[in-house]
Amino acid sequence: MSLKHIIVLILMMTAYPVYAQSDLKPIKWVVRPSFGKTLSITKLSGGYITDNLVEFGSNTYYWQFISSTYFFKKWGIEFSFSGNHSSKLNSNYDIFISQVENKYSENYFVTAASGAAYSDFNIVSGTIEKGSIGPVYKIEKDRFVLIGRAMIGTTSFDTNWGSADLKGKGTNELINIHWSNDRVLEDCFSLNPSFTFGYRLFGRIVLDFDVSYWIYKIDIDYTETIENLNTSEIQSQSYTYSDWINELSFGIGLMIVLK
Amino acid sequence: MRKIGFILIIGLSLRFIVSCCDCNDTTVYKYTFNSMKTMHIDNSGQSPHYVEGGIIPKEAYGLQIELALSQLAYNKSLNFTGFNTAYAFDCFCPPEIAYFAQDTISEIRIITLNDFDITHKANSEISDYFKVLTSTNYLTIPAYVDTPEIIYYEKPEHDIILVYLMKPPAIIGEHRFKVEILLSDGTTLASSTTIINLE
Repeated sequence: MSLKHIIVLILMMTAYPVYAQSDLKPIKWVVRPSFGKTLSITKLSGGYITDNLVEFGSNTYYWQFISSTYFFKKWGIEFSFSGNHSSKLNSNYDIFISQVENKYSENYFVTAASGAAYSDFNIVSGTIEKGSIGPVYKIEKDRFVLIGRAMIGTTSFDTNWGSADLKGKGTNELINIHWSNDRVLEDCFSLNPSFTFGYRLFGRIVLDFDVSYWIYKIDIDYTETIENLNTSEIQSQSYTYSDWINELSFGIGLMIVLK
Repeated sequence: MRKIGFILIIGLSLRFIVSCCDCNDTTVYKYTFNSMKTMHIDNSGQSPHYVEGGIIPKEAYGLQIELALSQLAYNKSLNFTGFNTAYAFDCFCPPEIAYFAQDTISEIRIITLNDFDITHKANSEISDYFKVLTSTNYLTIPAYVDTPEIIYYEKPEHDIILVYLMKPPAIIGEHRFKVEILLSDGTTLASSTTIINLE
């Protein structure tokens, strides 16, 4: 379906109910499935060999199957959960393996591996999960609905291990390299203010446009352990990611009025 | 009479509960080391190559020690409990056959038959210059000898020990090595390699 078709469909849907229905009750309980794109204002720093072990992408698509809001009057409370994914994450495993091979292949035969399970894509949660809860405030005027939120929650994603077995070219040298992070699942406390602009198409259906802001701190410590099996010598090095991530999401969805 | 009947019922029930998995007891065999032979390893590539002679980079030299094993008479393991060895709640049966070593390796000696360096002339022991490659690591020869004996669950034909040279020879050219393995019963197995050029 092309963009033109979508615009025409939206215009038809919005034009029809203006003449069809005028007696609208205030919204009390809604669910809000939506989808859109999250743009990263600040990105994860790094430049380390472990960058591609972190299942975190700068710009992602999001989809929100689970979102429920209950209004007491103007004020209410909302719980939302969205899955996020970027197609770039699918190639992270291959990029990691390739980087390890490029770094060491001059002097060693390289056998690299990673616990990254990027292919285990979850239709509900994607690879990056965002969940938030908090107070909401709504303004309803005729068919227009404006909702503001001040939510708190978590942004969660996986950090994977990596390893490489190096065999010296023309030598008996064997080296094991391991990259590991203490926490496999990274949960980042997040602040999530957002706005929804809605237009009530029918009594129980609201077309909405969402703008959402996310801010959270990422603290990841990877340890690189290099063990020379010939000499039993072990060297360690840390790679630290400590960044404030700011993201802006734009999305479109439907509010289904349950009550 | 009722009490005796009750106790019998409890006992039989217990036996039924804990032994309803039909597992056989493990039959234990013994194996012994018969003879050994050695072969050069060219480890310069990604995988080791076993060669009879020729030239090998001195930093990538190794030795394969192949011990021929033979099976001895077996002891049937005994079970006095009357209960089966597996439990009803964990039906993982033990292996039906296990092969344990009759005698263990107490020492491995590697002797150079040519001059190796200034301090190790011909017929000197250079075991310290070699390490044994296990599935995950290099072990010194004494550390390898201290590892528990291998228990086989299929009839063993031979045991392979891979030793790699950690310190290349200062004197390049033709080299020969002799490997001696001392067993716990006092037997010594020995084998000498063919000539190899370490360059």
